[in-house]
Amino acid sequence: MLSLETHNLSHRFSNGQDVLRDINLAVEQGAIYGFLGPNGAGKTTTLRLILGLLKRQEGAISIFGKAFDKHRIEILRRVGSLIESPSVYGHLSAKENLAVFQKAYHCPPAHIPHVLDLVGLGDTGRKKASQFSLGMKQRLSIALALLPAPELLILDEPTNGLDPNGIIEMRELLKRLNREHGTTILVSSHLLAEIDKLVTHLGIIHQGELIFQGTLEALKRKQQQTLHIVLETGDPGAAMRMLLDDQMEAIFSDGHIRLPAMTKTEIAAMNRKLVSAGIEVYALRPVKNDLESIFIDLVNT
Amino acid sequence: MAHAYVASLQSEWLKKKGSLASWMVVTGAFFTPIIIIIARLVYHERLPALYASDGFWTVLWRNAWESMAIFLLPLGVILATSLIAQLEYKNNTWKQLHTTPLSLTIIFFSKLTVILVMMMQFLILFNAGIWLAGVIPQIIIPGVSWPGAIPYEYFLREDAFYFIDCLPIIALQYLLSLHYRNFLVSIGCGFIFWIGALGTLSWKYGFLLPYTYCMFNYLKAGVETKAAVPPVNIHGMALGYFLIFTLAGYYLYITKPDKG
Repeated sequence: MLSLETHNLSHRFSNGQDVLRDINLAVEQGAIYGFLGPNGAGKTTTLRLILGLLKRQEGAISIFGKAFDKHRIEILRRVGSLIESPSVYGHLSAKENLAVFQKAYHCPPAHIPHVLDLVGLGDTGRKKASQFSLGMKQRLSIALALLPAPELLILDEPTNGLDPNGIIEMRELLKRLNREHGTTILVSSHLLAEIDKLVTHLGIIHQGELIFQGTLEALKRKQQQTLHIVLETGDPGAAMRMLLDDQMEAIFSDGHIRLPAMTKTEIAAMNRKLVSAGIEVYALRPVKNDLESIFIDLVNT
Repeated sequence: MAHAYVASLQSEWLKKKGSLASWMVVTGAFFTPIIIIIARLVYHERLPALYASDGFWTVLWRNAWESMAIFLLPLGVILATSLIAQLEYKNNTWKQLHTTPLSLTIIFFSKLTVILVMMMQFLILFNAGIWLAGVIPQIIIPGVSWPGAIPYEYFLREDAFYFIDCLPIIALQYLLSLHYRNFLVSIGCGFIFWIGALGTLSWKYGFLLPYTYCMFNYLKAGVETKAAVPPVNIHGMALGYFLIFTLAGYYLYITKPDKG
């Protein structure tokens, strides 16, 4: 069952520039879906379209199996969100900020101290939000998103402005919400390491196109598939001939030979053979593709 | 629908707490009465004759409204309306507000209602200020007699007229400040319209400008001026403009492609 689905979502700025092309997001219920992409890839535009903050031009959006346009209020009652920079009323305290939205969501007032404690702002008292640090404002914005006890949480770069401890706390909080309450979370980020530690599913967007979507396991399988060995020799031509004669999938590029992944014993055997044939081996190293290199590979394809 | 409107209204009312606009209502309402009290205490030797004269309260009312109707009220309405609507732009909160389960219609009209209630709040406080401006000098300065009965009916009727005459300013400023992110656009346009209104008071078609009605309401009340007497019911025109500007503002608001 999908909590959120977009079908061929496309968007164009008023100057005619394409921002999104045929985005087909599929966020499963109970998933923590990481929406990954470099700056300017179209993450925020996608999320703003999903939440109705931008007028939809092409494609369809459905949340909880219902068309967003036709069931906007019913859907938003079950969704919490944080889009980009913090949105808080500077002249009000944290509690008052939450009270403003508690009325709008018509949720129990007891949610206010609960979410303030969850984000670690329980003791800010009457201090105005304008006197908060950026990290505190970001925490308050997350508290606003959590206020209606949402079934779907949409967070755009939620760790912006948080210190390392804050990032860890936020990650643990999101995991806990997902585990204990079954909250579906769609979280966008350009921080690969952060996404790697948090999500169960992943979508990668680049230049307005979704270039990967699937589980983190599927991406890691891809990682295993793309693991390779780099060989640098004094005579690449002779080395290539010898390797191809041995039925190896060797590719020569950028002055070095790229080979598929192999065991340590196989690497040693190949090295012996090259040296015995009088070919000088300068370097022989496995290249482990972490999420970052897969991401770079994907966006450069 | 009604339930959501009340919830939204409570939310909007809470937002204005401690804001500059809410302080403006209080300080604006008591500014002129305090000046009158100070002036009367300084020139206290004139008070016994003044308080013994007929129509004391009506004269006091006109004195209080003189600067209010021409300057302070239109400018205050321009500033306060713009400030209330600009709260969302200033705090970057439109996106948060537009992702709450409230219809755009409810958001639009609950914000407008808060501004209208603030206007009523201002009138109530200003009336209290006028009363205090009459009573305080009489209490402090010995030998000054009680000025007689307050003409409540006259006060209430004039309050209602001033309220109606401000409505076009509220609606147009609300439209501008919702539509333009830059605070200076709504404030700047408001000032230009207000100066335009001042400049056209003596023009026979000055009544066509929606920012003139507060001024005309004061000037028509027997004050010697060069202002052209409007040949139409200005209060009816104010209501008409209010309706047109409100509908235009609502249309622009709900059709805005970028909502935060």
